[in-house]
Amino acid sequence: MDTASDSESSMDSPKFEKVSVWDLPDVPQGKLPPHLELQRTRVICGSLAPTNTEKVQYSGAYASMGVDNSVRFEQFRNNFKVDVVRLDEDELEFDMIGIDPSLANAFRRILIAEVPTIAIEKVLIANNTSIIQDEVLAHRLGLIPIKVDPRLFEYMSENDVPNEKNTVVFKLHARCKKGSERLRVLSSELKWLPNGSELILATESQASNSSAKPKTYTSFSCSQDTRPEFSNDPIAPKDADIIVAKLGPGQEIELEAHAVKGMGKTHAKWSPVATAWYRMLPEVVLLRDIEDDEAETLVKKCPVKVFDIEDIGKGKKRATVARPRACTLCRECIREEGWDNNVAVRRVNDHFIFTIESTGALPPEVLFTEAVKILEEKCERVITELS
Amino acid sequence: MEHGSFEDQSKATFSLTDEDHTLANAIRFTLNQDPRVTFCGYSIPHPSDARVNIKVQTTGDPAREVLNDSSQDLMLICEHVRGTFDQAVLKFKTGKGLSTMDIKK
Repeated sequence: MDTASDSESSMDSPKFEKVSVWDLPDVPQGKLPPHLELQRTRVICGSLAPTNTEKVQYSGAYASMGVDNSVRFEQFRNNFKVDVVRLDEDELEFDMIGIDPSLANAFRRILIAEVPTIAIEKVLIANNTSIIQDEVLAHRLGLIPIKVDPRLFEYMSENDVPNEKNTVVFKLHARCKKGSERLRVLSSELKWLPNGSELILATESQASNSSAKPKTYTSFSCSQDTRPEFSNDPIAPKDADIIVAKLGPGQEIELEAHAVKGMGKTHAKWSPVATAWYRMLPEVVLLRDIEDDEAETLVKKCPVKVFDIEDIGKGKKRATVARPRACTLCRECIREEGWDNNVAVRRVNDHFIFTIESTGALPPEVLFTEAVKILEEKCERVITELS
Repeated sequence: MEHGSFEDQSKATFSLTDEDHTLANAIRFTLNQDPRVTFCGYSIPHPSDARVNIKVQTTGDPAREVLNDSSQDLMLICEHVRGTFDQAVLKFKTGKGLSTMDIKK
């Protein structure tokens, strides 16, 4: 009994108190020290080179500091934010906050290379007396964006016959009369043929079987314009004013173009975006007060006018960071010796300013949702392959 | 396709065909977020074959299960991104619709 109370009292005395290492004042608890937090969340753009460009991904990287670096789904859900900045017919700019670069990049890559569209793949040239060669003409036609929802079509594989579910056929016939001026052939000349090809197969014409319908290069079982999606909205090139060729007097082009569904990784003509890119949000911080003449020089240094001057009374002026979003990270403000002690240019590494420029087949906001769906499908494939 | 051993299932290499950095880098991220993973990485053995190898080493759980969970995590993240994005677009469209509407007094 006595010995027990003795030991108890010795435990109580401050001299022998046992404290967990986490309770010591110099060990940060659940919070990283500021310099590590800066490294974790920012890319630092120094005057010589950007540093700290790679994110620390390992979940246990800060375990010794009691910080869990893993992003659990719940946490992601609470932090993730999307903010649309600009949205019009072909362009979308939005902020995506609280996501890892690997995912933002996956979306970007899918947008460029894996979201399908419809583009001209085969060109059957009946007559071309223009100075532009057949293959060049065919290539130019391929690059014309066509306004049609690719989700309504199927891919055409090697052994498939072209039918109404996988092919869109256009006709182009342009002639420049003798004695008239040079003629521009525009993309608006491409006329949609909802019943498929009108060119008769060479073998059929020899047989001259008059009773049956002559066989053409496509085998449509029904007209495409009976589909409700196309009856009110006929398929046509997105832009009517793309110059396809120029014809001199007496020259003529007659051809048929077959468009199929494809992906940007096969050929860039199937890419649904002109560009899809992101940049990390720039952060410009003044490390000390910059006043009067120095403030004037700082404002002059910046080519995109990130800085402004405010009056702080008594005829004194101070530089402020007015438009950090405009910063292109040119680092002109810290190029001169010593200025990197005044200004810090950084990027927030989980805040992406994402821009999508659609070529016109689908609106940009639909393209992004399609891209996310494609990434989901990829995951699903991995899961089914594993089980 | 999985390359591993029956005795020790905690490490394995998974070879995915027709995939590239797009999926592999995203999965590497979700794998790294899993505390059960001690090491993971991916490589594309040759640029002209469409294939990636993802190597996973865990603290003891079967690597196959951990990869499965990570893929599931990635899918959940995608679903959430899609939902949030659609909401943001809708909010923008309705907000803009109101501001650009020509209201005559």
